[in-house]
Amino acid sequence: MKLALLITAHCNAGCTHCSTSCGPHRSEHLSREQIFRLIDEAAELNGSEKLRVLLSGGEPFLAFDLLLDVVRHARDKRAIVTCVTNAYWATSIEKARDLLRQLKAAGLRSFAISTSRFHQQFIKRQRVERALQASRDVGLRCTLKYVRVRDDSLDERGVRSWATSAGAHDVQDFPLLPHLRAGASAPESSYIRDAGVPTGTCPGAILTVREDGRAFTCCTPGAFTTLLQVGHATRDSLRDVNARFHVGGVQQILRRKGPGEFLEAIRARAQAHRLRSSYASVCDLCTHIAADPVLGAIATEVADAFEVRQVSALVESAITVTC
Amino acid sequence: MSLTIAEHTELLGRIASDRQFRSLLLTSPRKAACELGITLSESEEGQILSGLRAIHRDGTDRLPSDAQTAPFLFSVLLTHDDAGDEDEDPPKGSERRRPH
Repeated sequence: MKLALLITAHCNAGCTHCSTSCGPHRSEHLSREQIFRLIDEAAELNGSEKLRVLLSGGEPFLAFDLLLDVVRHARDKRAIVTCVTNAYWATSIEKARDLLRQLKAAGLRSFAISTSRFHQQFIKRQRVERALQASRDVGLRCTLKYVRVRDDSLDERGVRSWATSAGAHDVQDFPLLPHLRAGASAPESSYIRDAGVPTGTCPGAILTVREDGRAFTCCTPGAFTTLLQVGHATRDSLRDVNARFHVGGVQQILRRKGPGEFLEAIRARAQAHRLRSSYASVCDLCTHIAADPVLGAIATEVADAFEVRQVSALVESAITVTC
Repeated sequence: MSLTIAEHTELLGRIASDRQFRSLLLTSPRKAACELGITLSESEEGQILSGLRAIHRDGTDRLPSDAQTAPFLFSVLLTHDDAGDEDEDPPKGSERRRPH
């Protein structure tokens, strides 16, 4: 099982592109008990398979002692645990090494630094570079995640060259998606898109639990919508949430056919004008459908019909009817 | 046990109209049937659960194992799955742009 826990909405940055509007004004978080319970349940559900836990936020380093405890707990449950940070804490190379050594000793397997033009309005590039250097120094793998806009000062090669020379083990480059902080906007020219509607299946669902306990099938910006919600992990058991994650109609359609499966119904209901003429990826199409109330409702209808057919067939095959 | 036509119709009707009922059926078939006053036998429940497990397996098999095509946070998990060798070079092609 792969479980992402967005443990807090609190963040010391307020990036324009943050689809969950995290920031200094936000305080919602999963409690220590809730986090431990989710990890325990996930470990139990997972049986002998490798459990992978990703901790993110908000900024998880702002509650460093909790982060350490959670990493230790996940390690004790034999999980592979990673986290994502903005690297604000790398105020000196010594401090950065110290924090990473503590996390490594607690069992953190690796981590990622998220940066972009938007992040750098709050967190200077120098801190990211220090954190990358410290990760090399203490032997903890670090990936640099970069959110790109069309007129970025660095092209993909430039980002890679900068990040690897600073110490990154890996670089991941993501186009900006149009699910920004509440009230924020970005010029259309910011988006990197290809003409047409992308085809393909869901490239990577991950059971994601947000700071308020709501659980989703994905953690991509724009995915936190009713269409992609699979339950509430702090009210329901993780077993039930995980079952819907695997056998829910929406989830099955996305994995088997992809979001393109909803297009026929969208066109049949004369709602194709709500689609864009270009997309960054299949995830961009999926979250566009999920975020639009009309398209989302059509997708729900299609998924419900699929689910009804499948569940009815299952039941029909198991029971006998007498006249 | 076998269902009467009326029970069968009611069950299918509820499946068609009630998402929560379907969810319950997907996790606890016997509990769901019980809501309609229907008692499923062990073998009936076993058969439904076995079908569910097949769907579950299929869903799991369809989850990607390739970090290059995985979205935002997921790719971190995949990239770091086998982390351990600090001096290992970055995976080839890791600079490629991928979906969010």
